[in-house]
Amino acid sequence: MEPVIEIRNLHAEYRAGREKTIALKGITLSAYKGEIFGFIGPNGAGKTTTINILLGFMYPTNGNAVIFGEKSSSLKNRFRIGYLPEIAYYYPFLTPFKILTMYGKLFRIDKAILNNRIDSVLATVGLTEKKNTPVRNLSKGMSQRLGLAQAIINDPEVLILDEPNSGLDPIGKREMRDIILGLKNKGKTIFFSSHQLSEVELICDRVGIIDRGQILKTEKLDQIVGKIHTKQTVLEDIFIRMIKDKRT
Amino acid sequence: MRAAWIIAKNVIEESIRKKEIYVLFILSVAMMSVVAMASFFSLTGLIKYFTELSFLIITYITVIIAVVVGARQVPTELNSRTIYPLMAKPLKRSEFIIGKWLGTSLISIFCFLVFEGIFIVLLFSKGSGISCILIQGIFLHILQIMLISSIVICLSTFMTNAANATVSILYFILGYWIGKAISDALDNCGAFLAWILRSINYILPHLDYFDLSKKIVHQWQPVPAWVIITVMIYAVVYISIFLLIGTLKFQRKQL
Repeated sequence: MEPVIEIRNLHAEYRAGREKTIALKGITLSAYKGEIFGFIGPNGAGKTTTINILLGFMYPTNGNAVIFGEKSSSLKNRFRIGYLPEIAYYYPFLTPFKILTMYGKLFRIDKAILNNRIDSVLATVGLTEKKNTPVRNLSKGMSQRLGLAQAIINDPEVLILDEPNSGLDPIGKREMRDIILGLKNKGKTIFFSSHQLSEVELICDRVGIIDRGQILKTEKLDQIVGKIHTKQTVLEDIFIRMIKDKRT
Repeated sequence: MRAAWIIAKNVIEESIRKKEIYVLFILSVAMMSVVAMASFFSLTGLIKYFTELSFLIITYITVIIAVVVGARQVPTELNSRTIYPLMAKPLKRSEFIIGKWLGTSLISIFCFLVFEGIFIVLLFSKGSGISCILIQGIFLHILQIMLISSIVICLSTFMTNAANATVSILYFILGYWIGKAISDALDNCGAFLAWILRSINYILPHLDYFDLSKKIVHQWQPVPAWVIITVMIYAVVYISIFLLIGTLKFQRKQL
């Protein structure tokens, strides 16, 4: 299979005055076309730092990150990438429609196409009714959906999702999972960072485990866990069914 | 440049929604009205008095608007984390800085033109009109706003909102006197200090070059076109330098 994301011997550190914290100690991994790659590890393991380097927010002290064969953060690549930050904050005075219009214009999407695209992505994430509601009036879960909407506004080939389930309730998690699986079915490559293993188990093809800035393992999911469903996910199913039954 | 324009539009939209511009707007209109009312007594030279004070009020208020709007641009984007989804888009860091400068300049220039409009209406009500030197003064003040906006945006790449506002306002106040103060000081200092002062004199932009208020008040003849063009080139060079420094600083920044 063709690697889309390649990270080679990546080192990174944070400096606060004279104090230096090593965040990444030479990580190497690849994500292949059309797969969902789960990047898992505890808080502070280096997941967000890796993503920040992939997107050009941070500079590595050594090593390199490549997407589609060129520097991951190149301008050309950014037309092909969608990114959902861990905590999604958007301009509170704007509505989802205006935010998506602004981002869509940065992708140089034609106005006529953009309006249709906005309607389509808002429908995908279930925010059609909130199209003209200022972001300050959206719940945390809705903001996260808006985050996903802005990540897919350019119909990207690669999606980088940093803790996409952060702040979502079980129903929101299920819906997010369905959306991500839908995107995979459309042939998108998804780089998915999380510390919620139950979610990773349900959707990822391969996983990379990171701890304290080092990759511990990169393998196909079924080779790591042996089976897909756990007691936790079954319990979650029952919980969601009960809530949905009560609401309907 | 299209991307920079998108960022600029966002700055304008955000500024319109904030209350501080309206507060400054009401404050300046109130001050100008008070000054204008004094002429009801028909005292000699009140048009000059009105023109001078109004120009002073408009200059200070528009610079405060530029500083208030510009100083928060980069720190707020970082603190509110709105910068992350934005910078993941096909947007160069230079376009981000230029967009922020453009937005800050445009909103400040818009406020300035509204103030000038009110000023001109009040001027007409006193039987006075628009002179050529007034038009030149307005043009140079627009350049000054753009220059100050570039300084504020440059500083916002590495300073906090409050520190930036303090330094910028201080520089605006000192910027008018710096040339005169340095040339006075040169007469009474040693060679080394004179060299340092001369360097500062050449490095820092002189805001007094953009000030025609005295000439407007005393209704001088228009300034020759070559002077206006030279000052315009001077402004463009300094704006480019500050935006370049801001971009380089922001390009090295870990977000």
